[in-house]
Amino acid sequence: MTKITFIGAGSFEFTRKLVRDLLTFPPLENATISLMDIDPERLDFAYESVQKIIGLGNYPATVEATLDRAEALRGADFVVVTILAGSIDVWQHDIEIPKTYGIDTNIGDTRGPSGIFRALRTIPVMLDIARDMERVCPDALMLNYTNPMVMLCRALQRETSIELTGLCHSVQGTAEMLARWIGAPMAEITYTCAGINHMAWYLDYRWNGQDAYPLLCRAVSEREDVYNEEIVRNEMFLHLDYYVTESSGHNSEYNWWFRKRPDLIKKYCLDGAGWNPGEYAYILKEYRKRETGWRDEAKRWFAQETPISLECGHEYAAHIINAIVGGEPFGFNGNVPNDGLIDNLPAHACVEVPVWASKKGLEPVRVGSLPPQCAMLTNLSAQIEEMAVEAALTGNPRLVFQAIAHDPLTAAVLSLAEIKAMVNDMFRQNRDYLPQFEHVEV
Amino acid sequence: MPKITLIGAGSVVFTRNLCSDILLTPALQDSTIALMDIDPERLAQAQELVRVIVERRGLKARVEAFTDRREAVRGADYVITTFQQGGLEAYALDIEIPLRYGVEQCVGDTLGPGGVFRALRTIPVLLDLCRDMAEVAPTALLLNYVNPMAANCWAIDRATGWPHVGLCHSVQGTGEMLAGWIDVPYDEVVYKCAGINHQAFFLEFCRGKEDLYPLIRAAIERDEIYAQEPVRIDLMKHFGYFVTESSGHASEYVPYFRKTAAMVTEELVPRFKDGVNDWFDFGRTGGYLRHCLKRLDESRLVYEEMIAGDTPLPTRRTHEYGSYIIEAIETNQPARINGNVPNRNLIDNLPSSCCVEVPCLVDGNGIQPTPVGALPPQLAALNRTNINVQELTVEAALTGNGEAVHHAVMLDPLTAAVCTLPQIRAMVDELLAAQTQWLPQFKELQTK
Repeated sequence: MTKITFIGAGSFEFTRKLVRDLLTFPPLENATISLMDIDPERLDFAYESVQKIIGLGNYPATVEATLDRAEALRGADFVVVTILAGSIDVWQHDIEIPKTYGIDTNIGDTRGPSGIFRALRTIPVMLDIARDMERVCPDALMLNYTNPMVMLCRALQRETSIELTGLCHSVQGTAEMLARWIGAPMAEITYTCAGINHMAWYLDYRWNGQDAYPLLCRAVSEREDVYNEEIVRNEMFLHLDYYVTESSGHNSEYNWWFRKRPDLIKKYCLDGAGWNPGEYAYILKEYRKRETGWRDEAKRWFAQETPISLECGHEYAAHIINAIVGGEPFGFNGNVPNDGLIDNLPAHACVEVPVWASKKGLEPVRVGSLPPQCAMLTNLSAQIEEMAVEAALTGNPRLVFQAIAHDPLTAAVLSLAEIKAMVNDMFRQNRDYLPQFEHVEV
Repeated sequence: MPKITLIGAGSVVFTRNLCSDILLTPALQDSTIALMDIDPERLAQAQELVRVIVERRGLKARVEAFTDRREAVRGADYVITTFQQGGLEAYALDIEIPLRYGVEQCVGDTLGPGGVFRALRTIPVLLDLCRDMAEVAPTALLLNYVNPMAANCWAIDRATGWPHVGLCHSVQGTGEMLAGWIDVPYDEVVYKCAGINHQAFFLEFCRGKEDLYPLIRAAIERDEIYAQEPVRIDLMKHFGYFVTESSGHASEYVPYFRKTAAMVTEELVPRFKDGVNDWFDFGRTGGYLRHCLKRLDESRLVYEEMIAGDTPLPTRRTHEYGSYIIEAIETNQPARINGNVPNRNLIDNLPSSCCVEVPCLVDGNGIQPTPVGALPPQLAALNRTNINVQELTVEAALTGNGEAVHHAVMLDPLTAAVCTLPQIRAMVDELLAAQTQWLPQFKELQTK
């Protein structure tokens, strides 16, 4: 019997959708679902929702809920991690302090000054989880959804013996968007996508085996609606020749080209029609909305009268777990150590490549080299994040500063002295959440 | 629907099995199957056998036959090679000439003087085929079943870069055998196998997370098990891991088992106590050649029985990877195979670009090899002794440099254990002279 543990199970919508999908697979219908969160109220909602799904589907599965992490992990086969270390009050400063220095951040959960400070706070928590796993479920596979993906996965891959892969919806989400643009049914699309999380590139993108890039190029350059849906990414595509994953807002932060001046932000980052064109602090707005709205949303779900569908949705962690316990093999894009996978990214860095799940476990596919114009940008982030992980694990504030000093957006806006002052400000604000740092003066 | 071309389709039993696999695959039942052979009589037999399957199953597949290779390949999506250049006539020379110099080959299709000359004959044909594909089937994937696998695939990669994968059933065949020895259902077993073709090693053999090697170690102590695979079991006892090709093959890739006729007949053959070793005559020199000659006589009988309807149609696919690969590419449903591909950072401690056999994942994106890392050093060292010979063989085949042929055979582990350098030189010269008709790339020979 398979035990699947959710750490951060209070992510109500995610937990119930993944459980719904998991239980549709015959080998998993008698699974033990163990839910853990530090917030008892959210945990209760999640527990009730899973019970409801089990009841509706008449599954032999069992569900348990606990605030005790080690208890939840004991004997687990799979551990799904969706945590957020610290409330909005803590991480709003990741975005607000840089803004006072002129750095305009849209999401700030991946890289750059905000992403790096999020990593500094979250890595100790992730390490605690992994250390617990080493004690009570050393053979379990961790599926991590928590950001910043690259730095968290790399820290764990480097420091612990736990097997893990990082999962994100950006690869398949973008692939579906591109298919829609060219009018192709997704079932007829194949692609090879590789790079690092939130900055992976479709090295090829095919419709029924034929290169679909010419069609994409025509759609982006000739159709206004297509261009406007993803202005930043379309600009990148038209100039770098390969399409990149994650939203335009995210990507506008990862390079020098889009947010260093107000006129550029206005031109590229405000008017896009996609879900996140790139306005300032979009993430704060969203989370504040969710902070007040999640309870009502959960209650609405329980109250709804139309039968709740138990059909399998798109949470691909369910397919991965099913494949490993002996079901249908499943290919996905996962975040794994770069051991011979991408030649022109740093060895051992956390890369996002095609991975196969089967009863053999996880097997990443070798990709070769990225095109140089993509590798250049991706390398810059990958190397900065290697530095940040080193700094986070050794508690070295100066190395944190040096990592941020190389961040392209930061470097395009600020002098070295200004960056140093900003990083010191951020450290002071975060002092209580950085136990691994003996001192925090750059 | 894909067009699948078989080159060397006159291997009627293999053709019939592979086509039966294809026709048992729902997504491929409307395929066009193009059969090609230079022997019109065997080609007609092969076509008849496949046609009978299509007809009895009431399928829509088309079956075409060609003696012209380029026409068979035109428009193909997949080209599968199963030919034997020079046939049994050349093969007999591969065995008989070296035997006169004391080189006792049992199978002689992989390494050793036999393997070297088989590669020299085969590579020009494969390169011609790649040129045909470039002109008339530019998107075709080549699935090569022709031995010697490693040298052939390496030459294709080095000379043409044509997309290809080399296929053999030794990995899954051995996996099934080991599972049987320890009484674990094969579909519960997972393994990691890597190295070079015919000398890949099961680095892991597990059920879930349970390591099954302790059970294998116990099994090989049983007499009836040892009687099936004495050479491979000895190799495992001394090198630590189980290897993929049969004991007959395995005995000739290393210097330890068959240095003299007496060693073969008095020490080696008596240890093959189990009847499963009949197909290579229990390790005797030339054993597999004799099996092939006998099989030639039998194949007409097999054919007649099949045509007469005396042989029931297979209802299940064999373990050959061919149909699974084509299905995975056509349907984008993943399959996991062990394939022979160029070593581009796949095995760290084997030479770059040599042909390695590693786990590959197949789907709509094609053949995607997985990196294995480093092999245990003693296994990599064994592989390298074989790769040395392959490298020189490929060099000779592609450049027509006769000296490289001599060097290849001089570095063959079995030959080197038996012969002096002058003996090897004389033996290679004799082989070159005897096989000139199949060696167009050696200009000096042609003018002699």
